[in-house]
Amino acid sequence: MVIHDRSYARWNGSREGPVNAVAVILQAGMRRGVATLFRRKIPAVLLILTAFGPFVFFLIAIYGRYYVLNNAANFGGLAEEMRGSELAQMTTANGETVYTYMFVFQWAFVLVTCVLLGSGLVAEDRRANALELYLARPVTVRQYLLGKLATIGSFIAMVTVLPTMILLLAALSLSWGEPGEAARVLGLMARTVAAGAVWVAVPSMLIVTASCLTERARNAAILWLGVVVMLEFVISNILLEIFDEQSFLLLQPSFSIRQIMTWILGDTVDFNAAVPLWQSVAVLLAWAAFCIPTMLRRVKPVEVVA
Amino acid sequence: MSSVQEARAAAGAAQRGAQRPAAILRLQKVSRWYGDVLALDAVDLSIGPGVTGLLGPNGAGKSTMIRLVTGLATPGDGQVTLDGQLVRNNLDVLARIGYVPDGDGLYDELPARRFLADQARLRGFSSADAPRRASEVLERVGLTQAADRRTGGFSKGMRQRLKLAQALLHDPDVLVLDEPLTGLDPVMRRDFIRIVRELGDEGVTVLVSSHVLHEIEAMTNGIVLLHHGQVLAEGTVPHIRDLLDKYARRIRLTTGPGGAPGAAPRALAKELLGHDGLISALSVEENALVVETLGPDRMCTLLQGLAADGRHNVLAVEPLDEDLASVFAYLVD
Repeated sequence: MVIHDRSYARWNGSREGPVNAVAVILQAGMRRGVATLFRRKIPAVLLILTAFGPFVFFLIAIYGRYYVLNNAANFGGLAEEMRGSELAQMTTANGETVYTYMFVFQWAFVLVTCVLLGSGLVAEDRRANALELYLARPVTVRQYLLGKLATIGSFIAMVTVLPTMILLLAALSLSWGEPGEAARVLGLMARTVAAGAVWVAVPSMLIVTASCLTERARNAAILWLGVVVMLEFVISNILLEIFDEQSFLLLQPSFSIRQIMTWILGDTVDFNAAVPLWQSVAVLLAWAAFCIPTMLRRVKPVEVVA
Repeated sequence: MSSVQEARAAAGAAQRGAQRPAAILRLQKVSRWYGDVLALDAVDLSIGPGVTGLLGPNGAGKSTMIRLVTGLATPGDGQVTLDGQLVRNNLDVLARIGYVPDGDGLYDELPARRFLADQARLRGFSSADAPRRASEVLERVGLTQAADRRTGGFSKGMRQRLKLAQALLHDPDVLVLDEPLTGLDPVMRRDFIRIVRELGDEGVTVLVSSHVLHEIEAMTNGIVLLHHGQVLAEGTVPHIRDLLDKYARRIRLTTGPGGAPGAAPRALAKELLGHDGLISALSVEENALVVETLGPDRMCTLLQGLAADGRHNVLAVEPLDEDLASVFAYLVD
């Protein structure tokens, strides 16, 4: 019989020293997120495939336009019809519009991603007293929050920025050799990253704040959905109908994001000129002014009243 | 454990002890309020290497003190230091502390090994070393078989062990345990106590909070007794008992067989009552006499004399109120 020496063993190897706690929390959060999807038996693959639906649609449109126009002789009148079509215009002259739409079509998936993977990020830690474990380590509240924001931000980026960038790469590969087109697409890539950062940052900040306000993922999801649905679809539209004032669109979280994104992308078609850009910027700054102190105030170890 | 293993363990402990710097936790005039409630009241305390039990009834301020020494709460007044450095918001100091919280803090959907590896990464282990260290501590707490099971299916005792494992990952200089034995089975409880004692012997500064006296008693003789947010007593149990000289000592004297039942204890009682002021109360049992005395030293001398002249057959002398429970009761009452 083997007798194991179970006395306490000190670590004999080396240690890296100060760690990038944000990166560690991000990695752990992503692993937990994937585990959560499968634990809840949600068809994760189906969700991801559906989220990439607009990407597939626009990819076919871009590829089809190039193919038909480059083989115009074989397609006869179809090539002429395509030259004048709105979709063909979107994918060329006003190509920026297609990328705005790519982001906008993903709004529903951003909502779903936030509910499934963001609502419990802090709430479940609060409920399980895991904050005690984190904050008794060499981890600051800011690092903890940044790790959580990066976690949900990464998931949102997967259903927004990633398909858009792949689409851009596809367009770049097709337009390679056309004078000026490749440079335009490369410039668009840089602007897409900046626009994507806005698209990722704002919903991440809102869902993590909602998660900080409760100790149940379900409550955070209800809070987040309630606020977003009310502002996005109910209150803003009612006020818009009554007063016929475009500024009420600023109540919609997605409107301010979209205004800033279209401006960054240089999409003049989709930009709502009736609402000045600075107002959208001010609205997002106001959200940040509410969310950041709230998160910092709420992330603290549970304290027992004696 | 074989003699070879014992020798190896002893050598290892000596070597490890020599490497480890003594860590001194110090609370200086520390107070903490929760609204109008004063949870800790100007506590002055110094906790050095070895195991120290933090005792007190519910609401005494134990959890507050634990949170202060682990940097989870800020003192309303005074300061908490480790080797002269403030604990709160000091990442260098927090890197030296291991903490086993009373609450759960585990992620149900993650396997134990994965959870520990993530925690190890936060403690500065590389991504290659973290799983290795996780496996080491899992073996130490007896969870190797369950290492790849999700913690959601763990029993309360297994969760406690996993919490201890995460606190040991980084070889802490200071280990703080809040009600650590809750839910453990007797075997694991014994093992857990052994680990804590080993760590204390090795020179780790261990602070264990509990309101179960015999658990603390099994781990250490050194205690800090909190009551209403104040330190009521600190030191070893016998030392504190010595200071409580207004309470008479209760001693059981077991006598040998002799004549009718109770005759020997009664004869001994008669002898002791002949000494003025020695006995304040007594009760006779079939083969024993239980006495209360305010002069334990005098009683001891007397019993030695009785044993020497052979008039009374005293088989055993057993103090009844030098245990932690009695000391605690005297202090709190």
